[in-house]
Amino acid sequence: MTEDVKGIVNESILHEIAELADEADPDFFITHVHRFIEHNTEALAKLRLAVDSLDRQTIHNVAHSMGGAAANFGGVSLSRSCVELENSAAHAGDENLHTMFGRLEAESAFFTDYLQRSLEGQADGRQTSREGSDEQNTHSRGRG
Amino acid sequence: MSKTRILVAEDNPSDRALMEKLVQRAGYEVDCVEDGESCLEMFNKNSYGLVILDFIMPKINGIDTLKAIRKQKSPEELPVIMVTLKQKIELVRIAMKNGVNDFFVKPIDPSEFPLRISRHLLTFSPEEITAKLRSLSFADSSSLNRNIQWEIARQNLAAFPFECKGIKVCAVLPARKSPKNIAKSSSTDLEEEVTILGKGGFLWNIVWPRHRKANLELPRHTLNSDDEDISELLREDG
Repeated sequence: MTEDVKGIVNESILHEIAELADEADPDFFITHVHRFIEHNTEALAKLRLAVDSLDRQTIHNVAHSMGGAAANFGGVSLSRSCVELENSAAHAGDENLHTMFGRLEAESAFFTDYLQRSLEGQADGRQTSREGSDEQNTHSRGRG
Repeated sequence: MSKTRILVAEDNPSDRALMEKLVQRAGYEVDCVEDGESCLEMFNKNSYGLVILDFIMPKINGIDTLKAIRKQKSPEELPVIMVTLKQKIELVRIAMKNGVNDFFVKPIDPSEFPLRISRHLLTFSPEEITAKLRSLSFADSSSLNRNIQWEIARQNLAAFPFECKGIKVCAVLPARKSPKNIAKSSSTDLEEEVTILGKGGFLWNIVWPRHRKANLELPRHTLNSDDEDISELLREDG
């Protein structure tokens, strides 16, 4: 995999998070991705309402929170869009805020889809690894 | 002996879970809260070795939480690390004026995280420092006035690590005399990096600049100079 998916996702960060799974918590990455997606979806809905009602303080705070979480997940482009909206929350006009929100929404859709696919990839990898292991066990048993 | 307890205040559940995981993996106990008000309640109820604060939180924001903590505990008594996005230099400046010890810049680097927090929690006695240094293979161990040098280095650790001109400076020992045959984990033209096993099994990375070649800002400068210098440094980090 590449370090940076066209400047949109920093995959090395995702790899580091995936490596935090250990014996005590083997599903950490999966749980963590689901947690991120769930909160991101909620935050996006809150943000949409705030932009529609021009609630500048909420726009600022929610965009800040989303941006930080996205950065910690390697969502480079999503994080950038969040920072843009956060920084403009206080002064940008209604139309501009909607345009920025539209951009953020698109980035969010791309990134959550990317994360879902990462999980599917990981599940496939696990399945393959399990099948390989089963096969090996069968051979071992056969030899025994 | 009970483990050191760390308090994490972060409103985003995803970031909070990540930090909780990282603190636990570093070998510390952790309490997590989602806003400044709960943070202060926990702070008043329990004893913590370190507090990690987000800047923007519901109810009481990070800066006001920091101010409330500092009314009771000084930076020497209780280290506080704040978490920020790189773009938020102005927040860094405000936090510094209010007694923050250090910063995490998002995205948080999971491999750097335990080093950074343990750096604020390590309290070596001069005897421990000497013993630790003896376990390293310095060619001429007697040539260093170790206790003094390490004590100075320890005093300076709060600001580290920072990136300067492309080099991660984790800590700088006063390089009056460079030890030879140091337990080196990596080196470049500009630096030598030493890894030392610290308390609790943490690796304490020390980057030793080769003074004559390196054009580095030294820690005293970065800590004691005014905020403009710090923000300039952080800008260079990008």
